[in-house]
Amino acid sequence: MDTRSITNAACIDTLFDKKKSIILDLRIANFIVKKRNLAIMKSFRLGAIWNMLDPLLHSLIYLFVFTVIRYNSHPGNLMIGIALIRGLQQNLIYGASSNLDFTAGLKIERVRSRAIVLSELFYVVQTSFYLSFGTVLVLLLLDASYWVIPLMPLFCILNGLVWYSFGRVLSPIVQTLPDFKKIVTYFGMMMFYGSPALYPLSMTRGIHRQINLYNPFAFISEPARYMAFGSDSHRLLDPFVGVIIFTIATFSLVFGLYMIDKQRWRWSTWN
Amino acid sequence: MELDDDFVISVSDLSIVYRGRAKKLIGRGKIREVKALNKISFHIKKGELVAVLGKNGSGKTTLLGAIGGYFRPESGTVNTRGRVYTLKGANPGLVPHLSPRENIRMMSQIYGVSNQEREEFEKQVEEFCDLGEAYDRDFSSLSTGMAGRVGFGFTTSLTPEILLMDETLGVGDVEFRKKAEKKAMEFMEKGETILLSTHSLNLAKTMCQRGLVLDKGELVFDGPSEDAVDYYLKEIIK
Repeated sequence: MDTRSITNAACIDTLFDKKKSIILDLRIANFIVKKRNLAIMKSFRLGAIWNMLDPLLHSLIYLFVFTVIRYNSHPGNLMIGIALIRGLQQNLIYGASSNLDFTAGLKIERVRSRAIVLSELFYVVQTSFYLSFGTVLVLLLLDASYWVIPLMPLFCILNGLVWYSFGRVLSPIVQTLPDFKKIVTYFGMMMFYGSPALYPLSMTRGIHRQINLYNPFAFISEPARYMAFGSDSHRLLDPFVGVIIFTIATFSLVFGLYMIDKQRWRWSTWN
Repeated sequence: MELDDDFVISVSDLSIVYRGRAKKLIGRGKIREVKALNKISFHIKKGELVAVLGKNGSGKTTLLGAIGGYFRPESGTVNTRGRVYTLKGANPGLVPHLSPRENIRMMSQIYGVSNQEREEFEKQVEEFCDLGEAYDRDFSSLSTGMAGRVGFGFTTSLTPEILLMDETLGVGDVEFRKKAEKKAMEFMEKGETILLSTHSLNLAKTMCQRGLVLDKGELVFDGPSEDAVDYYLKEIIK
């Protein structure tokens, strides 16, 4: 029989059937993600198709503005940047504020933190995949390499996880000081123009370039551009810095997800 | 503290404090504290049906929430043996955009109803709800009473070892209350444990063997339900 011990330090479940509990947690995680999607999409006639249409149309508008209205010589590079920067903004803000609604209203039984962690990962991977779907279609129309079909979804998922992980590390601050979410949102906006999204890294100059040589975004956008169009801006990046950045991101992701249990326990009696 | 073999719920010196911080433009606002439960201890054996009585704000919901694992104790411990389910309000987490039928199918999977049992389980919940064509409408379009039937029917059709019920039997029309009471009795006959928070003294007397009375976050009485009701009327309501 399952037992539970609740103290000030933690709520610890000792599960009798570990294998079954993992399956149930996977189902709960899937339910949480499905419920979130339904809450957004069910009121529209096209339903879940908007999950893919939304990022595609959003990117196409930017593509139109920056290629037709403001002339840009390489719409493919632009499309990659726009898709990735959208992933940055979406996941950074989501990670910073996600502990506000962890369980999607499930009240019957305390949702185990493991199910929440899985739901968070599923959600980031799923939204990043949807983002990549339309991007791949447009890139193929813009004569990108066929490598974009398997690799662009991976770049989008990697990008999503990196920025989600940074957002999660910031989430305790947002919980204590909700105004900080505004700062995170404005930081995301600033990254749109400051990062090599609308232009490749090779077009930056001076201190702008110096900063971007340490920008995690550049370590995803420039290899993605190389993969799709053979651009060579990625040569400006130092691989050693890249290793450090992705090590920090991995640590942030593991730490951020590990802290979910402690955070929700700590905040359970705060209002 | 380890849980004794006889008990399925063991609460020892449990205190719960809610905190909130006053908003301030500069600096950290002052922390406001409300002590919801103060050093509560009791043990419940398997198969007991226990009523929790008390005025509004006495700590009943907090006590059930703490046993369910929703609140962090300031001090003390809660130990439970078996799956603990909570029945609270009309919606236990159902998706507003899906029909009760679709919801029950999806939710039964996440609460461990096996493929072999699912058909029978779904039929049982549908019969209990007795919603007619409304069973295939969006959950969000149902009245509170109808939604309550779905939530109650689903939760009590599951097989928790411990069920925490927060005022749920007091809602709905007379017909629903009768059905709900019958369902709760069936549940109890299976030998499972129920902790029922209620304002209905009649319900506490007729359904429960034991009563706990809370007042201002303190456990002031623990004994047979009839005596608990008398104590509540004489000492708390006055």
